[in-house]
Amino acid sequence: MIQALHDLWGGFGVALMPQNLMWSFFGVLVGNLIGVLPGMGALSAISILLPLTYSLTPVPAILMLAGIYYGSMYGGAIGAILLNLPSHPPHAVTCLDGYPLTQQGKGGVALSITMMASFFAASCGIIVMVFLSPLLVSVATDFGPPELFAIMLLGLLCGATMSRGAALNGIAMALLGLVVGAAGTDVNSGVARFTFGFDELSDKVELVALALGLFGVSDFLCNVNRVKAVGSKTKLSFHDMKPSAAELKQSFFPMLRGTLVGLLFGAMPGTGPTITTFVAYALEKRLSKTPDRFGQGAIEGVAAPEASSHSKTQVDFIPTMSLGIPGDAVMALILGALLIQGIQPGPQLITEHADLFWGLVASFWVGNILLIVLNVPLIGLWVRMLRLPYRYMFPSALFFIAVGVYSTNNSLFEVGEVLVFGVAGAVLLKLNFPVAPILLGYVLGPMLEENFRRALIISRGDLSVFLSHPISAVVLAICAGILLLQLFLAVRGPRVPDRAGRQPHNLPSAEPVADHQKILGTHS
Amino acid sequence: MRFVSRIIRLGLLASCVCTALEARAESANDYPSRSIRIDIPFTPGGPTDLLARGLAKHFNADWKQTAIVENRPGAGGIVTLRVALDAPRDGYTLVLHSDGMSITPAVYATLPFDTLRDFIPIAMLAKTPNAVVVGEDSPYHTLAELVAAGQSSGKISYASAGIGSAQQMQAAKFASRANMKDPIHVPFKGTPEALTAVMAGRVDFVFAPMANAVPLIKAGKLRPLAISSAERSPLLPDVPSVAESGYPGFSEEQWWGLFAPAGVPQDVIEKIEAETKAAVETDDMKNLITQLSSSPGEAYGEQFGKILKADIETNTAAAKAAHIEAK
Amino acid sequence: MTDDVYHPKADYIGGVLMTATGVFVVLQSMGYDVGSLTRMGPGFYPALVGALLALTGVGIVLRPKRPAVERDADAEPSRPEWRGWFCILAGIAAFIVAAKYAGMLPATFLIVFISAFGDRMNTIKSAAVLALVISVVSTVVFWWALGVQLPLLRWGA
Repeated sequence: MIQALHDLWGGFGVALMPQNLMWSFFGVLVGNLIGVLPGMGALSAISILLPLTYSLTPVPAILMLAGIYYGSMYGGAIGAILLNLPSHPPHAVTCLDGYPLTQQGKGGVALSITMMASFFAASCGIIVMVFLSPLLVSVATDFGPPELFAIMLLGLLCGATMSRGAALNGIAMALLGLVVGAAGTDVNSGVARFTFGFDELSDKVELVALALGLFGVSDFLCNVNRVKAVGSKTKLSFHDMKPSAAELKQSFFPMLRGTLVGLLFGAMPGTGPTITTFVAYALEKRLSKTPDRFGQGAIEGVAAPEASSHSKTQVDFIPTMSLGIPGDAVMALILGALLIQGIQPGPQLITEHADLFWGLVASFWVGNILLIVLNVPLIGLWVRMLRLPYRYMFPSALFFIAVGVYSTNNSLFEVGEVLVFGVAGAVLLKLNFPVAPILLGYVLGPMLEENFRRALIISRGDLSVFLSHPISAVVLAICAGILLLQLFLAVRGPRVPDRAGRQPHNLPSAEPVADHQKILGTHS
Repeated sequence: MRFVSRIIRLGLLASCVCTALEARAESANDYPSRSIRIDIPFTPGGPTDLLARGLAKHFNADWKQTAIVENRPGAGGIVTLRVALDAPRDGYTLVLHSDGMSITPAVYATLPFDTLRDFIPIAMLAKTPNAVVVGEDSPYHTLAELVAAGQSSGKISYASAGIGSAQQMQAAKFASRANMKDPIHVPFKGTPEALTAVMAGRVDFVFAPMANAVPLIKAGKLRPLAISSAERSPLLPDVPSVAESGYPGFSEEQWWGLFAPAGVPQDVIEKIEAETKAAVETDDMKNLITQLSSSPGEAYGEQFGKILKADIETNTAAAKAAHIEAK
Repeated sequence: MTDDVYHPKADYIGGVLMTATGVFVVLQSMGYDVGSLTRMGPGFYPALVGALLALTGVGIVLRPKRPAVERDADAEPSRPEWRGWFCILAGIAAFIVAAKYAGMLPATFLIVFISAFGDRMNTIKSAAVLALVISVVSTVVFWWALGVQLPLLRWGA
């Protein structure tokens, strides 16, 4: 403990060295600015700027990349909240309530809450990194295929029913997401499924293309000629950017719970930040006394997922650095950058490159403070963009989407995917289907299938493997509980619809809430 | 109307100029007279990307022409190779690929090209062996113990970075050479996941790339049993090679090489080969190759071509024997 | 985001669409090896998901119908915005083609210029000015500063 604090102190020494501080600041600034560009997520930002690090020494190179990463994540939240453009897929959840808030003229408030949530969550994540790294590393290898399968199933069940509107529609969309996720080469057999002869599809549909098509382009298709300017109601005085005391109070516990969800998922490498945000959102909605507000501009629906993705991101650095297991595609790129620098990620990294590791940890804090300093004045500027008439805004945003998706893999085919998913998304929205569960299904589906089949390959076809592992047994029991409750409610007959084509949202009412609390060990 | 016809005339003029430029016969004396593109089938930050950028730096410096690296990941390199074949065959589009070049023809039922006919091997830049590793709690302490268990129980499993990965090919070749009974292949999405499973003892062994395995071996999380190349690796001098453990002649390495689409004039190819050879022998490229836990490939032109051809043949045989197929 | 107007036929169309997609997926999956639960082939999982999707679609069609819309003013579903749709989609398509054969600059100009016409308020002049401005941004930010791997201008593939 004392040693950790001592190391951390040394880390601050490294992070605050003028040259390192400069690169960290540069990374945060550039990441932030790139992240704000609609369509440019963390993945494009890092893959574009990675070659810059080839000529740097290790410490500044990694500090800069980390800065780009969380800078662009925060920047991406701006695009998600103000323009409904989730360039970094976890932000798809932020869109659900962030964008309605913007339409109500509260975009600035949502951005401020996001900033606080991300700082708070990142700080908690850093504390966990400092004190619990060894524990997390030892737990990391405990999550094998049966455990991962059970967790993915739980995430899917939570996510499918969390959207606004009829439950069946949400389930249909999650299933559709599973179908989209099944396209591409099957990891277990090498067979390319649903590629219809396109080699480009054999590596799966591109996540960024899917997210921007479903959220960005489909939104333009629905809004063209109907909207004059997204933020016409937005007020610009500094006072209006500041969340009110009530709004702060409203977001505090969601922020805390979101952070905990993120930390929990952080202990499971390979789960990725997208599932984390969906689970955090679903949890808030279940706990809320007024679940109807979700999807119509509930500030909790912004605070919780943002907090969860930031704490997850922080904690994800531990397996990335100490085991060489990247949590997502962006982490994989950062891992590549370490290798370029001649640093082998591995258990000795923390001891052999103490300056680098602790410098990085300290720079997270420094970087997050820089991010706040940078963004307090900028929020007003971002919100001002909303005054831009829609007829100028959407053609420009389309260009940013196209070039952003292109730069993810330098593939024009993937720009074509945006086109297809844009149309599909618009049609589905017109038919009252929520599009967010598609994204969740897409992300979880492959992991669900792979881990199920992998568990059975390893157990030589013995299904009991899912029940003999304690973690998977418990999680599967929770899943079964949720399903049974759903069935029970369905059999009991349809309830009285509330209003205008919406059924009650709190379908699996009391029980899952209790379950979530069990998992998290929290009570609000 | 006048405006339109002027535009049309301008367009015609421009296209004439362009055709003239394109048609200008390229000879080795003029090469390179404009920028060169090196396509690679992997994302930035990986070994292929680093080698390509290292090479590009030398092209820039020696030829005073910009060499651009384009990352076009997808379908085990098929996307990149197809794009390279679509470009003019003038030596301004090159491909830097891994040993995946010799695996795709073996495991894909159909390919949009014929690797040996459509590509000219120029130079093997670097190569690296894999290490046969087991988890720290594994009951197997030598390769012989692992093989003995594999021959009797039929319950030995091996991990890999995916169907058609070099790790799978090497493990499959070894298992058949050692007469293991029905070894079980557990494919993962990448090397880190595969290594984690072996570390946790869920899967018995894996042919792991040195760059990933060495730090975990040093930390005691993985135990090395053998090295896949004919000789021992300087990174793990105490670990015997598979060949000296009772399988003489067993020699498997992963490599990275430079290719050009067929149809590029021979003298241009020779010029690129000479430049690449000079680049690989510089200190900074040597350092880079060492950093990647690799050694220089030291095979050029026809010699590299022979290696490629031999690799494709052994891979095809192994894929057929182990029923490895991608569709 | 979308108009929350309840379209009476939406359930039928949507449900049938889902069922059709599900059936299509199941049929496609049959082309791959399906296998069994403990020895799954590549077709098992998509077939299962497809079947569930088809069932959900049936459920959507058959579920008790909800009362008609209460929001009287907007009750009539708005007309589809063909012009907007066409221009936005044509703009993206133009970007793909132009980027492949002519480079980033023409692609940028075309996607903005064409899609701008989706809005009735835009004129040739305003669309062209907007497209030029974004072209400059594209050149400076993406090509020069970020070095996106796409040539500014090129001829042919």
